[in-house]
Amino acid sequence: MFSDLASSLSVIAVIAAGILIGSSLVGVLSIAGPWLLMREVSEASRLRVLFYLQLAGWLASLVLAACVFESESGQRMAASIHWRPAEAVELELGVVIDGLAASLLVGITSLTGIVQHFSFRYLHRDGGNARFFFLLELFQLGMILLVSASHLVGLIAGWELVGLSSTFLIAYFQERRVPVENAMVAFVSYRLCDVGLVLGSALLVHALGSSSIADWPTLMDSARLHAFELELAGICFVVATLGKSAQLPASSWLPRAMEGPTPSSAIFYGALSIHAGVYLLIRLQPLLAVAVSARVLLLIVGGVTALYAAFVGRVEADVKSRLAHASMAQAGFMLIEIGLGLSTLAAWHLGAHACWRTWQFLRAPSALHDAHRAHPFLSHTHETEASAGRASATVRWYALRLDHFGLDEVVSRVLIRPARNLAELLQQLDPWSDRARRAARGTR
Amino acid sequence: MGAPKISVTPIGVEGDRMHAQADASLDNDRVAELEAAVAEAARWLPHQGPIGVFVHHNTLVELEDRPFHDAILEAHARLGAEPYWSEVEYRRAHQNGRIDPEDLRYALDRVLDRRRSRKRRLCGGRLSLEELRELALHHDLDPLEAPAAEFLLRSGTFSSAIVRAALLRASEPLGVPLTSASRRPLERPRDVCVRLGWSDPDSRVHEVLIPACAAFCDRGVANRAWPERELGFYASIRRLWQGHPPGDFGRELVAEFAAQESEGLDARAATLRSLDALEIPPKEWGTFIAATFLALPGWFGIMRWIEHESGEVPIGEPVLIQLLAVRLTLDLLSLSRTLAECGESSDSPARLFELAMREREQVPTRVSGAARALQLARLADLCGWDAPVIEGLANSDLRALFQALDHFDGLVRRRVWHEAYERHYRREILLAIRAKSRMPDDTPRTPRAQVVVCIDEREESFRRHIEEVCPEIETVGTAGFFGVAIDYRGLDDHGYAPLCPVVVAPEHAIEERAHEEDVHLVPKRVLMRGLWFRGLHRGRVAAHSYGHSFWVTALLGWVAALPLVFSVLAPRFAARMARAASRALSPKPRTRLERTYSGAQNAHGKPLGFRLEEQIERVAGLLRGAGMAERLSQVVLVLGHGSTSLNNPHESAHDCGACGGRQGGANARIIADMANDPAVRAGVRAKGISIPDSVWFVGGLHDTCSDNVVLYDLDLVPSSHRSEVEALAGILDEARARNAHERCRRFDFAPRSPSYASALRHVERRATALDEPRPEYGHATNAICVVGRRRLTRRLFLDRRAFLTSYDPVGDVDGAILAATLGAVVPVCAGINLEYYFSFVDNERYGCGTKLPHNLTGWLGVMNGSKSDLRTGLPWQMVEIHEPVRLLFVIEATPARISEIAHANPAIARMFFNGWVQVASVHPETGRIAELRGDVWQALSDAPIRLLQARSSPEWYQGRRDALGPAYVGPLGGK
Repeated sequence: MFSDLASSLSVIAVIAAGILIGSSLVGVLSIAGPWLLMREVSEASRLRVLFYLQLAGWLASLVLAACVFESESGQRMAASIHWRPAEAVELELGVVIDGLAASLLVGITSLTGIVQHFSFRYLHRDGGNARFFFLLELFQLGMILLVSASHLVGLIAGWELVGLSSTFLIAYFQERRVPVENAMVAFVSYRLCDVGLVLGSALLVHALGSSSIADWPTLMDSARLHAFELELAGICFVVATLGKSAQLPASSWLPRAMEGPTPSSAIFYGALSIHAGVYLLIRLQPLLAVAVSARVLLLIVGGVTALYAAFVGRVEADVKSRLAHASMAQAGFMLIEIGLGLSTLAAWHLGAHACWRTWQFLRAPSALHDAHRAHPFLSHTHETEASAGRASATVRWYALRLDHFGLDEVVSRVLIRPARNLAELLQQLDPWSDRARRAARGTR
Repeated sequence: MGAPKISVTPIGVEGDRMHAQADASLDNDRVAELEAAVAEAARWLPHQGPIGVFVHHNTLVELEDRPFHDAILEAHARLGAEPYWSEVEYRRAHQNGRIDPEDLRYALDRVLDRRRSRKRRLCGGRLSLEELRELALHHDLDPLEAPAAEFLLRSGTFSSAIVRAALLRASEPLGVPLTSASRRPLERPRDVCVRLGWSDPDSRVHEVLIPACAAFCDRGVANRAWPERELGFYASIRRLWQGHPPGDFGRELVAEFAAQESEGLDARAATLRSLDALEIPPKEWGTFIAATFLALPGWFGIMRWIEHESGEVPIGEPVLIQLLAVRLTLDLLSLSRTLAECGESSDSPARLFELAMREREQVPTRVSGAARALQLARLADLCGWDAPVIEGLANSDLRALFQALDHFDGLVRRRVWHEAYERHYRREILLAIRAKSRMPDDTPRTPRAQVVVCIDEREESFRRHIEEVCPEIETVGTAGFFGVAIDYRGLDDHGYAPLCPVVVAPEHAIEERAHEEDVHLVPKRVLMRGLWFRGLHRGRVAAHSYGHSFWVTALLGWVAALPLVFSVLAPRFAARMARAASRALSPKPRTRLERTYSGAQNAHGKPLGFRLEEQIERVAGLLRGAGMAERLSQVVLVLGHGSTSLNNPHESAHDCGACGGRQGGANARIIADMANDPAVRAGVRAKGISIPDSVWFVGGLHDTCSDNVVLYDLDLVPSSHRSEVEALAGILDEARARNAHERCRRFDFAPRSPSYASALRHVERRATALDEPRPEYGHATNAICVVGRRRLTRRLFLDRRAFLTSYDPVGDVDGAILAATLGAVVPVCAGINLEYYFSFVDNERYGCGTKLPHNLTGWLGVMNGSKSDLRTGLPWQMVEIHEPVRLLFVIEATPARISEIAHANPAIARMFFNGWVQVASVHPETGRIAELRGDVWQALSDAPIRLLQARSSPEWYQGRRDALGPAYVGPLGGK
């Protein structure tokens, strides 16, 4: 059942991995369970459970990392369960953890733990308290699956969990219209880019003949015959990255995602979710080594996004939009690094950026306090600009930046509205909802 | 998408000059009319300025010239904001004993004012009007929508016989009167679109208008400033958007702006043009513009602030009209677009306005028969009537019954509840104060020391604890700027900040300078702080630079892990480390305030320091106003207050209101310094107040969040007083820990039964934690303001709900001191109280909602997320424990004296006689209490006096986490 059970180290590692995934899963269930059973759970007891689960998960990730770095088998541990529901079908669910994944797992549990701890008080007495922590746990589970899955099924499942929890946290204040609409923008952007993930995976499985991520590097050399498929798969994966990492042209959801509570912005768009695509590409480095066109695409997308985000970020007048664009720019830099083949640098950059931006997001409400104290030393907060009678090109350049170069409108026209129209169409097929909608509209 | 239907009326070059002149004068009239309409509409905009300096004020300050209840009901009609707490909450208060039946009877009398009609019998004598009202107060008897009523009738709650009878009687046309038709507030064309189920034209407009407002008003967040700001909002945005039309607005916007430009329109003319395009008659301009403002009140409000209160040089035309012009232009385009999208392109936006006007003349709605039947069935259920009784009711009975219920609708009932709720607490307090005033005077004749603090209600508990720790101390309350209005510049500050009430403009500047012996430390401090803050700023800015951001993030990002972990998991430790590092790297030199004027002026032309006679005046004013001129103790501590917290955009709202939303430490320090000067003392003596040589003043600062107390200039204390000052510092230490202990009872994450030390640790954590949206509860629960001698309130537990202003009526023969005191205290305290009231009863409309999604914008205020209205008022986490009562002024002076002072001061008169506050007088000699109702004084009705007693404050509040009534806390049998 378990492969690589040679040493006691791997037994410990398997147990640790079990505890790690289990703790998030139990965390999700500990909130969803009472909901389904319609039981009231006090905030305090919910938080206590989550605290200890998080602690267990964090310790497990440490143990796991220690095991991986101590092991002899090329710093990689794998364990999987084969399941044969039918004669012709064989599913394999499992984890594969190398040095990078182990470090990331520690990072995920640490940062989620910090944000969770932060949220205990920050969301105290809030009506959506349980929902928030449910989504946070779901997100963590998604991230852990995404990082550690040995097979495509697990990876895609994790990827989708991350996207879903992100969407619902943007729409956290569901009684207001704007957050829900903005969540919709994020959701549609995610879904469209996810097509890339699914297509790329299919192509890769076809080319390599295996859905096991762990096997890919070794198979890659033998798959030269399928060069075209590999190129195509590489491009598909780059497309997948655009959504989660908010790269052009799928970037306009990120500033809109600031609707949620501050800690959710920190963990998603400062710390982890924004890097999911980067991690995926680091993982796919062997593929990118073959797929040159994907690397060129990465350089272009990353470069243009980094420039775009800097141009736009510098005219934004609110703190969180600025941070959102800063995150976008850094993710762009990471894509460039990967495009250049510097995946170690990208991984380092990822960690550094996650710490830095989480800190900035969590402190975002303090910006005024900080500005007051720093004021004496900043003689000119604005770059001095002689303004009257400026060349109309300069004015126009500013207008373009303030309007995000018209990108939001294009995205909304090309993607969001068609998606909504489709949803409306589907709704009309449902006689009940259509009737309700008509009743709500009233008669003219 | 159809082209917008805004006809561009070409203005031909008319030859006829006469004609042109007539046009011009007509235009001038129209412009004047427009300006009047805008000014009228602007009354509905919030008055809040940038929140860096938060000044509490009455949210409905523009309506103060009307009676309180009328004003809030009008605001309810116009803004859709709740005027009172919800009925559910009042009923809960009733169940918890916070409202008595007697309070309700009083309130019914007061609100409905029909003693005679109370006994009127209804329903063939089965029920009196009073009984019916009582039922309606406690049970839901309002008519529901027909489907809901039908459902409930059939739900099996009522017997089928009753339902049948009720339906039979209620469905008879005679028995069902019509509800009174009310004029609805004017809808905008956009509201009509939304009502018709079309897409919201506003979302298209707000998408582009909000970022533009934010960028235009930005005070330093963005790196790039708005270009050509000096052209004004309208002209610069016209130029900006002609270069690139934003969002969904394409060539139409460019064409429209080009047309406006070629016609040479300014913002006023452009507004008029839009109003004409909508065919809005001039008499509706005011209401229409107000409705337009209220679609985005925060941003229009900040423009109003820039125009009226910022002191900025006006940019071209009034900026409010400029924003209006832009908004209406966008609105028109967006409406045409929506009409086109819905296939209604034959309609024009003007027709939408016509529809809105027609809707306004609302046809009175008929209450359905089922709804009436449900009312009847519920009533029958409550009164125990059976079916024959219902069947036997005459049509006239039914009509009278339903009319009585309709007149006693939700708003009236809530007003009754509110009056009852206020009365209950008011009586509790007034009876307690009366009982206290009849006890022997327990203020020490010759106090060991005096502690002068701000009148702030958060200092009530601090004062009580100081007196409990050391009963020989007398505490005194006075407005926290201590009569010295200054522009202050601290050692580390860049510019001057006014430390005084907002209505006062300081005439003096004060600077903090390093002590001569420590001057050598200054350059190092400036250098280190400069490095640190510039570095931080670079880090922040680097996030957006084109090249640096990469290196900074990739190389230094990991460093952030350290503060991230510690400040979230161990905030007190992190703060201590940061302080220690700051002390080690940039030690703060001992400092002095430059108190005495030496002919120097600051950059703004204000004299640096006070002249001798000015100092004498300030010191004498303080001692006389606080009534402590006669009996100065050996040491007098003067404590200003402020509040420090992190991750709190509304931090400044917790600072001292009397210092204009800033910390009042410098004011305390300078007045103490003045009073210690022998020359000043000599001058004061000439004014008849003697400050003996044995008296020493010490200034200080009380942090109401961390309960930390700092004393200034301790190195100046003469050796004769040093041990006493040290002893007093020890007493303050004990008192602040107890104060923290009392505060902890309201905090959810505080230990259940903390020791004094752990309570102090808890509040210190709150002040330094990033994850704490409620660092302190600020002014929440404020309810009382006592102006009088300490003997009225000493040892009275007032639960941190009372502003306490020291005033001695004995020395105030002509009432001048009282007039001055009330003039300062009434606007400040009432402003705080009313802001809390409104932000609490409707946190979404009057307040700024929950803090969780707040996003600081342009250093002006907070938005929800990245594109929302600027949210004004107080956040929910600040007010959630508040109890909505109007401030009760208890003034130790005769009713005649109070009336006289109020009549002489319009600001006080508006507050007192229009009922924005409650007023009671305590007779200085007899202790008799009278309440002000309207402009008539009524004696407090007699009631048995039983003041509850406890040995100490902790004994009284132990184990109680909700609001607490008054009690005498002190040695038992102390009567």
